[in-house]
Amino acid sequence: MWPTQLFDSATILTRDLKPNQEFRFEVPPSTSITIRLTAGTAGTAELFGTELSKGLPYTFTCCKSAIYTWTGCSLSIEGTPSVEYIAEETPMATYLNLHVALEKLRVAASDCPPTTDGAQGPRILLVGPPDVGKTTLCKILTGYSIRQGRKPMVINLDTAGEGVLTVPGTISAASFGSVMDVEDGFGSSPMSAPSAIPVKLPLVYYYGLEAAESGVRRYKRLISRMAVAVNSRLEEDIESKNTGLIIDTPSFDNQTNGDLISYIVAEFSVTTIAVLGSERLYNTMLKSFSSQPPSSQSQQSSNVNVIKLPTSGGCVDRDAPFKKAIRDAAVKKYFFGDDKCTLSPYTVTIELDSPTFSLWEIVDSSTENKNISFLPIGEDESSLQTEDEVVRKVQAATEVDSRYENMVLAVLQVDARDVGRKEVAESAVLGFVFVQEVDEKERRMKVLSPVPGRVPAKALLVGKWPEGMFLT
Amino acid sequence: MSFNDDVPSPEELAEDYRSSLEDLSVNSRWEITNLTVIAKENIHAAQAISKVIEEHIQKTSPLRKLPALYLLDSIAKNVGTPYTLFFGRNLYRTFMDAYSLVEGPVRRKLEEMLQTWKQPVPGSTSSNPLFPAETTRKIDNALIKARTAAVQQQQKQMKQDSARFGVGQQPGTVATNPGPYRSTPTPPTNGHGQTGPYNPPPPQNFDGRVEPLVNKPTPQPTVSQDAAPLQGTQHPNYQQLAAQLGLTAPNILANIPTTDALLNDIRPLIATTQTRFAENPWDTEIQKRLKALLDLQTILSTQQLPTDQLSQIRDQLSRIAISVHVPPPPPPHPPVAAQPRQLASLQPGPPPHTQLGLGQGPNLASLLTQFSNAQPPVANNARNPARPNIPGSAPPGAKDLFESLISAGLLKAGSTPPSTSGTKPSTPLNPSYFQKTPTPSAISTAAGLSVHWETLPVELNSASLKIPRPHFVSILNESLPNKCGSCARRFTNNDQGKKDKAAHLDWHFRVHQRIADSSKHAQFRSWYVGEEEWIKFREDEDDSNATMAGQTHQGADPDASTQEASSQNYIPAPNDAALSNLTCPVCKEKFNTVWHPDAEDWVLMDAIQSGNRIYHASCFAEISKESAGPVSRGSTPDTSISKGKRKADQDLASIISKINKKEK
Repeated sequence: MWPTQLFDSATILTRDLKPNQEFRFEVPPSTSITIRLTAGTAGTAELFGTELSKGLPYTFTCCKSAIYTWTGCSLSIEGTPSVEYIAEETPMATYLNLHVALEKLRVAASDCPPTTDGAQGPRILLVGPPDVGKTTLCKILTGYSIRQGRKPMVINLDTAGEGVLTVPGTISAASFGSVMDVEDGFGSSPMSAPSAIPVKLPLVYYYGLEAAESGVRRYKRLISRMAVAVNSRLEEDIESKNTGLIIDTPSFDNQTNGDLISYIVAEFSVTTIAVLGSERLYNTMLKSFSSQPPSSQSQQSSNVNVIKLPTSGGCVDRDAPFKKAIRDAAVKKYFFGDDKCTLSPYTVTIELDSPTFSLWEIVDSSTENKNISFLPIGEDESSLQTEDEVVRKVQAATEVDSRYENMVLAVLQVDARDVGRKEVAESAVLGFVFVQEVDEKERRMKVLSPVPGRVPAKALLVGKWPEGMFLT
Repeated sequence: MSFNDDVPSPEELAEDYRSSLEDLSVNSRWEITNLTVIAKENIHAAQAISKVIEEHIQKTSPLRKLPALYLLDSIAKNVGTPYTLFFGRNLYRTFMDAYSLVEGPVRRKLEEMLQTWKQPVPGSTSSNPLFPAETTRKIDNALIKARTAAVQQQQKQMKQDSARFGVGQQPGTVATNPGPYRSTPTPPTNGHGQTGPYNPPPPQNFDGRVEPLVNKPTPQPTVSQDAAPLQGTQHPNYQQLAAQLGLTAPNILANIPTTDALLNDIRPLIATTQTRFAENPWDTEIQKRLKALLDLQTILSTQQLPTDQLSQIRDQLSRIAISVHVPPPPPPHPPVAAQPRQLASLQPGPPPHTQLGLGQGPNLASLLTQFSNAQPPVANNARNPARPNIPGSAPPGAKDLFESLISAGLLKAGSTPPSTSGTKPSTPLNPSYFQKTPTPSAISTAAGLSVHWETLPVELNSASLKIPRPHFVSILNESLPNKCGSCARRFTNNDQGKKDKAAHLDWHFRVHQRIADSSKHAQFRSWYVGEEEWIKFREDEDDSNATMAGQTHQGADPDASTQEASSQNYIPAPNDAALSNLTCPVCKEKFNTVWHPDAEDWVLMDAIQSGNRIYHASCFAEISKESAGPVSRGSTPDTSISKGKRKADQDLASIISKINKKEK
């Protein structure tokens, strides 16, 4: 499995693309390839909406990706992709139409006075079954609107995927006012190091479960919380408001998600639902949103535009090990950075008996029944009656043991002391630490912290997703 | 890890080599010789090793760049191919990236080394230069352009504020400085010392025998004379240099014209012009143009022209291509009489040229004169400078041709559409790059493609989205036609866009520099922010208002609360561990270290640096007030320096925008 080529020059491939063709390639984990848009030739190329610069080397590892050209171009590829071919049939023409249609709405929004409803740009929700290219379309639309000088707000609600600007198991929102990283999906969140591609600052909430259905109550609460923040920001930032939202979702492909989709549509005031790759879901959406008479009790629903989009032949089923590798890579990148910028996380000791240690666990309602007897003593009784249990406090004295090793813990924005369940359940995230070792005898645990110094005295939240992993 | 432990793979070798390079901190002959031997012995990994060396040169701190480049030189001279091939590919970039970041004395050393690259390796049987002439010439062109810019700026500064850069303007400095280094011959005579500093050596065999130095060619006097104008500016604007040099490098690499390519370019033009001529047989303009094009074709296919002539022709062809593609009737050309004046304003003032011409060999002087007098249409003559290794002037055929093209009214700078000239500020070294591929729709308006959005037929429904509309691609790419070569960010072609792009390139340079600086320190991920902070956060300040290191922040955010206003002064946090605990000398309290999104760095908030000490800005203000006399006098030099820096920083943007205006 080691790369066997001794002479790199022998493995430089050249691929000449005609207009509207796409070069698709797959790179397994642990190998990498370098692609250049050949300098000195005419033609542009883009990777999921973000343009390549001529002559610059772009390195790819562990990905299934594609470079598209509207004009025709020449690519030189160094290294050996496991799969590579040139595709002629792509849905890019449709996606471009979609972008122009959205841009039309943005132009109209920019012409309206800033404080009116008319200034609100299009808010598009992408839904569909797994592996139909929702996240890819999200990148393309984001890349195109950035290229047009817009500032789209990208919202990722897909907790099962690799995460946007953060680790898996989260939902996040970020404004994209500068170009995205060709090599690296949505790019990077801020670091102490300078970055050649501007970093994006995300607002992150830790959901901690794979499926939105598993903890749907908390999922909805996080969405509402995020929607408030996003709407507040758009009210203050007219450029973002004019550009609108691009919302990526988990894989919704059946009836039971209808309720959740309606919830998202309402919370984010979605104007357009784009359904990829599922005729059935498209018709369901049409019924629930478009065909309602205006006299319906829900006035908002009548404004929602439902469209159906073709899915790319380049969308391939990514098997479970590949997805796991991508998720692990995302966590690794959070702590250690990437080839362009290596980060040095710090091993920090947390005293389990410290009064500022407060660990909470996410309750997976799909597998656990709520059990009042697990509740910590002194918990606010009133909240018990009104709130379903979505998080519970872990008893530091008895429960913290080696099962938390190799897990990612979210460091929340709320203080560790005197924090209630409600605050924990809805808090945004300050960052993540990775549990290396729990020493029950010495009453402490060693964690990998991204930032030097003591881990802030904030509440910690542990979930089941991303699942345990080994970070070297 | 390998399948065969005896023969390490190129990757492993490269990795080892990389770590050895890390130790190459000073100009040590022993180390460089050693690394050269390793490179020679592992010639099968030449590509990997040369890549590692290039990366090292790019990444390492400015102080270490010279030894690293000397290593490149040593390997190229002593081992030769295939290293020369691999280095040659990126030589421009490798050299210019380093050049733009190092100090004046190191620059001179680099220039001396560059001169040796243009000559055959002494003692070798081949008469070819070490690196191909077009490679070194490109670097030469860039250097001359940079000097011109430096001189221009210097003159401007002189007019504006003669006190600020007083030292640099003393004619005496110019006169005396070249002396010491001119007396250092190239390549230097350092053949026998085993521990002394490395200098670009004559080739030697690794049996320890050094080739006799007698054969060593005498250094070109032009080296030192070339550098003279640069001497005059001891305060070159590094940012400007990098914006001009380093960041545009990839574009320039793409730009070696060949006769065949030019012939290919000409053919469609002739065809188009012939058609036009058939339609308007009475139009003498078209007739002249056609004749000129046909002449050009003949010359190209019959004569061997030097590369610089080829690139001139190529530039002019692009201009013709643009004017040919403009739908008839052709747009009125500005009067020819305006050209010389326009040219004059583009040129650096006469003094530097005179200076250059006086000390140089007749070739250079005559060529320069020729370029500035005989060929006024070539607006950017600074990038087509004379080069010593091309004897004589342009072949008469080509010269005649230029004249006929001029008389045909084709080659005026004024015929270049505004949009293409709009790319000049960012790539002043190579404006032809963008001119080469003019996009008709992009040149229709100055600010980019104007789209009547409300009339676009596409609707947000599934059926309408299915219809292919190829022309939408131009909306995507040409609404903002002015693209950054480094990250493909796009800008408009109007003044604001140019300003933004200049600031953006500036930002690239700062980041580039900071990446180079930061590689020696541990870096880490920052914490995310909470909801309130996120709502207030704006990304769009990344490349306009961000401040330089060592410069106090002069934030002008109108929304900033008064509390923020009092703590707007910050300086980058020192990376040194010992310094991170320092306290304010006045109040003895520690500084508040925070991540600053604008500066994209960790900073000490409410801090100000005076001399070697760091104070709280508020404390500093108080002590300055209390003891107005001695303290303020003592702090004057610092303040004026930081002001000078800041001023220079601002000047950059204004200079670039002025150049833009002139070139329009």
